Parts: sequence; C-alpha cells; structure tokens
Amino acid sequence: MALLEVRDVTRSFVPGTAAVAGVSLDIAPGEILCLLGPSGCGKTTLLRIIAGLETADRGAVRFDGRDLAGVPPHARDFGMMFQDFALFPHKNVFDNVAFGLRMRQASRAEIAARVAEMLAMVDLDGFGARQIAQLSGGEQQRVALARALAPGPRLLMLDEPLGALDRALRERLMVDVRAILKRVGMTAVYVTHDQTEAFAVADRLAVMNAGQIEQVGAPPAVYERPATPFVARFLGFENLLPGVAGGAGEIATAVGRFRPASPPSRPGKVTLLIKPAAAQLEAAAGPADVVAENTITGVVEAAAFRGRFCQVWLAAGGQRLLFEVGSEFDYQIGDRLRIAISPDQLLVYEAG
Amino acid sequence: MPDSSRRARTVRRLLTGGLLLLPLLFFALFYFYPLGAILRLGLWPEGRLDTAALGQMFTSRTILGVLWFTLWQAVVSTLLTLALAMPGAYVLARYRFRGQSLIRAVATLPFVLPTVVVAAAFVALVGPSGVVNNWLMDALSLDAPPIRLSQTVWIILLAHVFYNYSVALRLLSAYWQNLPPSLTQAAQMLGASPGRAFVEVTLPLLRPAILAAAALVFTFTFTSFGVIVVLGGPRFATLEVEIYRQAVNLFNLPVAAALSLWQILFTFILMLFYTRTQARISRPLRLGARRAIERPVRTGREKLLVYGNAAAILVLIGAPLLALVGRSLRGASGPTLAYYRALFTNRDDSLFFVPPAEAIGNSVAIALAAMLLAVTLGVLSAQLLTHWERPGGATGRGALLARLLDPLLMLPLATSAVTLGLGYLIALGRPPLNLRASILMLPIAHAVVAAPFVLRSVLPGFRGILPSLREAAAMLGADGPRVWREVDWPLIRRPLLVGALFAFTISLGEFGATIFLVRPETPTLPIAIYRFLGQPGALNYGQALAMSVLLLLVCVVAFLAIEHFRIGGEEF
Repeated sequence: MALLEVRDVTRSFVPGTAAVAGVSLDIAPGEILCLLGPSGCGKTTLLRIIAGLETADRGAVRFDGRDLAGVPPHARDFGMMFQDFALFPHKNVFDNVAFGLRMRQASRAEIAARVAEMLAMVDLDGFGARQIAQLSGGEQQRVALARALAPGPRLLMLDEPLGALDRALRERLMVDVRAILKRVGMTAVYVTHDQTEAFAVADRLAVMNAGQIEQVGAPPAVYERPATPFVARFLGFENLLPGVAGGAGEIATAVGRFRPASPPSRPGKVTLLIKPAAAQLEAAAGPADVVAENTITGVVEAAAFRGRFCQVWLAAGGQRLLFEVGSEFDYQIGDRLRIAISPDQLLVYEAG
Repeated sequence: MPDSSRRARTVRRLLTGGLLLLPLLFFALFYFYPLGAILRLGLWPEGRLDTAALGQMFTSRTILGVLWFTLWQAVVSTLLTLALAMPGAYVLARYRFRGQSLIRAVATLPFVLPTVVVAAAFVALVGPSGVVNNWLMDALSLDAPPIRLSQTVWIILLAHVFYNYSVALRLLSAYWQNLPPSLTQAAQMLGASPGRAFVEVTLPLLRPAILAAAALVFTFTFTSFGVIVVLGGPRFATLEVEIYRQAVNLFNLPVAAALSLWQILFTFILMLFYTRTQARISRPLRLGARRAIERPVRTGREKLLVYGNAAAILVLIGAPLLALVGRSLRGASGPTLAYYRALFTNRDDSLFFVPPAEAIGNSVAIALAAMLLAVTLGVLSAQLLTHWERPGGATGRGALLARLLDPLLMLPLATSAVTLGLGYLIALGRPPLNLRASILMLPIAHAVVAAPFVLRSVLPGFRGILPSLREAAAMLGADGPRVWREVDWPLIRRPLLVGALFAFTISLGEFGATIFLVRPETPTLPIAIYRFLGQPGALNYGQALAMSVLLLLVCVVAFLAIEHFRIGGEEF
C-alpha cells in the first residue's frame, strides 16, 4: 500500500511547456525514492508540489489516502532539506533544530531532550550553542538534517541536499544520510542530478526528463538496463549509435553489425547502446575485410589511465566510441584495435 | 642614473603628490575651516569658553519647542515611510512582473529631486489652488478649497514620506532580495504559518536593513529644511529652520552657531548609527541569483498585493509630479503656456525682481562650475584612495590613511546644508578668506556637498583598475598613455559620467546652503522658486510651478542617464 501517491500531476510555468507533465508515482512507507535528472527536468518542481510550496495545475497528491489539495505546507507535517540548507542565520544550532518542535507547541523539556537526541544522531553533540556561520559545510548539512527530522515528519523531502558541498564530503555524507534515514525508518523523496548520489542513497530511482518520468526501478536494475536512450546517456553511457534492425534480429550500424542478447521485436530503425566493457581486445593488422558480428575495429584516438581501468576512445566508422579496458593497456595513439563485445552488453531501443 | 633625470623624477613625484593632496587641501579650507568657525563662534564667542549659547537649547522655550517638533515629526515621518515601504520592498524583492523596472525607476526618482521641486509639487497637488482642491471646488461647487493641508504638519509629513520612500524602498528591497526564500519556506515546512514565519524568520533577518533605513530616513527628516520652509510656513520650524532664522532673520550668529553645534552632534550620532547598521547589512548572507528568487505573479492574492503596491507607488510618486506639471500648464481659463512665457519676460514691479530666465542662467552656470570642481575633487580623491589602498603600492601606513580618508571624504554627506551655509557665512565672509562677493562661493559650496556622491560613483571604477590589467596591457606592448587610454579610461568613463551627472543635479537643486550664501541680485532657480511661491498672485504661483517643472525635467533626464550608465554602483 503506497503511503504517498502522485497522480497525473502537471505543472507549467510558461504556457505551452510543462515543467512537470502528467507524472504519477507511488512511494511505500519507509522507502527512499530518488528523483534523478538533469537540471530543468522538473524534479525540484515535483518535489515542491509534494511539499505544498507549489501548486499543481492538474493531478492529485495523496498522502495516506488523503488528498493534500489546499493543505498549506506548514500543515502537512512533512519535512524538507533545502539545497542551501536554509539554516536560520539569526538562530544558533539548538534553536534551529528546536524550531519545528516549538511550532508544534512541544514543552521545553521535550524540546531539549529531542534536540539533544537529534544532534547526537548526526554526531554534533555539544554543538547547540554554536552560531550557524561558525559551522563548516558538512556540519551545516547535518544540522539541516537534524532540524528536518526533529519534529518527526511523516515524509522527508531532500532537494539536492549535498549539492552545495565539495566532492569528497559528498561521497562520505551520502552514505551517512542513507544510514540515518534508514535508522529512523523515514519515508523520503530525494532529489539529485548526481547519479552516484542517487545510486548510493535510493531504494528506488525515478529518472526524469523534460517533466516526465522515463524509468522507475532499483538502482542496479536501472543501471543494468536503461529503459531509454536518454536514461542511458544520463547515466554516463556514451556509445549510442543509430542503426537498422534486420529481419533476423541483427543490427547494421556505421561501425559494424551486431546481434544483441535480446533482439528487437521487429525490423526498422533503432538506437543501439554499446556498453563500454570490452570482452576482448587485440591489435588489428590492417583494414579488416571481413568484419565479424559484435566486433569493432578502430583507431585509438585517446586513452586515459583511471586507476583500476583505462578509458580508450576509439574512432570507428566516423564515430567516437568509449571503452573501459584493463589498466595494463599499452597501445599507442594511432594503433588499430579490434574489440569484441559480448551480446549482453548490447541494448536496443526501438524507435517510437 | 644621471643626476638630471633623477631630479626630473623627484619633481614629477612632488607634482603628482601635490596634485593628489589637492582634495585634502580643498576640504580643509572649504569644509573643516567653516565648521571650525561655527565651533569657535558657538563655544568661544568672545575669545573665551562660553557655553551660554549652547545651554539655550534647554532653557529657551522656543528652542525646546523647535527641538520637540523636529524630533516628533522625524519619528512620525520615519514610521510612516517604513510602514509604506515594507510591502513595496517585498513586492519588488520577490516578484517578477511587467512594468517592474518602470516601478523601480519611478520609486527611485524622488531621491534626485530638489526639495523645492518636491515642495512645489505638493503645493500644486494639495495646496489652496492645487489640483485636488480645484477639482473638488468644481465638482461640489464650493467657494473655498475644502482641503486645507497647506501650512499644516500633514503636508510636511506627506512630503517627507514622498521624499524618503525611495530611500527606504531601495535599502529594504535590496536587502530583502538577498534573503533566500528557502528560509521562510524552511520555516513553513517545519510547521510555521506564513505569519509566524514572517515574525520568526523574515523580520529578525530584515532588522539591520530596517534599522539602517530608519536611521537614514530619520536623519533626512530630522534635518529637513526646504520642505518645512516652503510647505510649513512660519508656524513650523525644525532645528535647521531655526538655525536659518537665527542667522538670517535675527542675525543672531552665536545662537545659530550653538544650534548648529547641536545639530552637528545629532547628525554625527545618527550617521554613526547608520554606518554601523550599514556594516551589519553586509553580513554574509548567501546571495541568490535575482532571477531565481523573483517569481511571477500568479494567484489572485498575489496580483492584488503586487499591483496594489505598484499602483500605490505610482500614485504616491506620480500624483504630485503630474499635478505640478498639469497645474503649471493651466491658468484661470484653461490650458496655457503663459507661466512659461512669463519666465522670459521682464517685469520690474518689484525692487529685487530678477527675471526667472536669469535665475535659470545662474543655476546652470553654477551647476557646471560645481560639477567641474566636484568631479576633479572626486577623481583626485579616488586616485589617492586607490593608490593608498593598494597592497604593495603603499606601506601599511598607506592602507591606514586610506581607511581614515574614506569616511573623512564622506563627512559632507553627514553635514546638513544649512550648517555648511552658516559656516561659510561666518568663516568665508571676512578675511583672511573673503569670498563674500566671489562668484565661486556657490560652486565651491555645492562641490563640497556633491563630492561624496562623485567619489562613491567613481571609486568602484578606480578600484576596478587592477594593477594586473595595466601590467597585462604593458606586457602586450602598450606604452603609458596607451595603457591609460585602453585600460583606465574605459573603466572609469561611465562612473565618471554618473558622478558628473550627480554633481550637476545636486548643484542645480541645492537649497539649504544656497539660501545662506546667495546674493539677492543673482538667485539660483530653487531660490527663485522659493521667492515666487512666497508671493501672492496667480502669475507668481504659476511661474514658480513652471520653473519647478523645468528643474524637474532636467533632474529626470539626469536621473535616467544615471540609471542608464551606473554599473551596479554603490548605494548611499
């Protein structure tokens, strides 16, 4: 049974273009759902509609079976973490965390106990008297989380909560955030444009593009089988080629012929995703006369050592393809290579 | 190095050094010396310390009454202004709507209008034969004007609100814009109703800006002169007006000087308070991009709020100005240009009559001279400041000097024009520096008043000339003059123009100091307006309005140019 139901929500700011176009979503109790997408895809607008900070033109948001239309944000009992943290600069850490409890008329003793508990949870015991300006970015982030959780909201929304932090800190905190949310069993909607962050935090992902949801699923499933070329590209897959599917399930492209593990259902124009993992790699003597299926022959254009693997850019058939190969890669720029790809690394998107 | 070239370099250094010290000399002579003269006359009238005149402040019933009026009208004006400006500031800071830049511009306009023009505009709007009264008399067939605001405290308060609304609006909305909307939203998400969120979050965060605006508006209204003299009539006097009366009508210079000393003390304390709150304003709040924060107007309530405020701004600012223009074009029997034509005809039915056309000529000549002086001073001061500020360009002592010099050069801003006028009257009317009859007296006084504005305008430009820019130009093969032409000049051109326009309009409208120093036979435009407003007769009235309209037009054009050319300049 879904706790939060989003039904056919539409919102447009500029007539003719919808920021959110007919989105429907279900979130189960205790689930962390990530809205993932590039900036401008409508994920923040959707979040703000759920929060009540924006109103939908059409559609409904229901929480625990109750329609939220007309319920102002302060009466929803939701919590929110903002990208800029939105900590009150004129209040100290304690008063920030206590704010939501005060709004709920909690007693002084209750407030003191709950704030202490929250600060302990985010590892900031003893920080109550500090001013916000004295805190580092990471500390501010944790105060914001404690503040949002303190009143015990029924749903927590996080709008790019790590976006203002540097990369190293982000890597560490995304794990912490998930741990804390799971510990208190919070139902959460988490907005981010960073796939690493989404993978680390989410139980389920909803990848958004141009106001619509392109794919919903658990992170490994989405990464394994991006549902659309957009999702593939957004997750960092670069090798997307136009091709034509024949009757027997084979696909002709500018760099060769391929036969994916799950062939297209009918002939016609397709887009082929070649995942970067190379099954086999060898030097090619010269221009190959007979090109085998599922192999690519091309010239090394550039290579970059990335630690446990190497990135190789291969020019083939007028295309530029990216592969990840073992770090023992020792070819030179200009060398000709032949790369074999296993059929399960090939995904086909049928047009339309 | 040959001796001759070393000597040449020393000479050049001395010359540029001397040139740069010129503004200091000027301010010493034409600001500190006159103020010192007031101090001497107020404290040492007979060559020994005598605080009797100072004590009059608290013994004379009249002066106590003046102080009381000065105080309460300033308090009421400030409260009214802030109450009106708060919603306007919110609308400008948070919403994006069509006509917004127009509203912004209109709301800023009063800042550059001369007091006399503002006063004349209110006379034209709600005076005995003003637009409103004429309408009401026509519509209700009355014999006497039904609204009698003229020479009441109400018209004074109204004019004060008109004048200071823009200052408060600008300060508040600029600060409000920098408050991230996420703060109030966070409060709401934590369970605060919109009203509660305003009280708990917005209001405390706006406090520095509210305090700064209040301090500034209070200072302006506390030292109000032109508005009171023209609109209040003889019944009302602020401290400023009393200083003027003591000095010019009663010729009681020691008392005037003593009152001036109090006035200087008060304004000094107020400015101190203002600069301290100003400093707090620049407390680091993350600046949000304006486009991201401003949102379009959508719901009916938002529309009411936004367009209601826009209409209020347009009416508040527009009505008096339109009334001024309209009334100046309307005679007893319909539309007429008679008042404008009369400006250029000679009537000599009065002993001190000076044709208005001549006053216009005087004003323009004085304003040009003052502009030239103020720009020279401003540029030299800015040069001096940036030279001393520059790390490496000067020692730590230089940076210290710059820190001292900057507020010092801003002091004239905190000095009332009347005080300055009185100081000139006392100090520069007799040897060793007798400028009484000099045509330079007014341009100098105006330049002192305007120089801080020029400095504020050009300083960002000068600070923008980073040494690395000039070095880069030099490395790319530009010689000295070429560097100046390619790097320095383009960077300071626009700020310089803005500063010059400021100086020109300030001089053109200057009233408080001018009324002390002007010679009866060579009045400036504001003085002529003041005189004509004080004379009976429809023609005198009409001519005063016509002259005000001309002054208004020049100021509006200058204002538009300033707004066009300023590049995110500093606020005052």
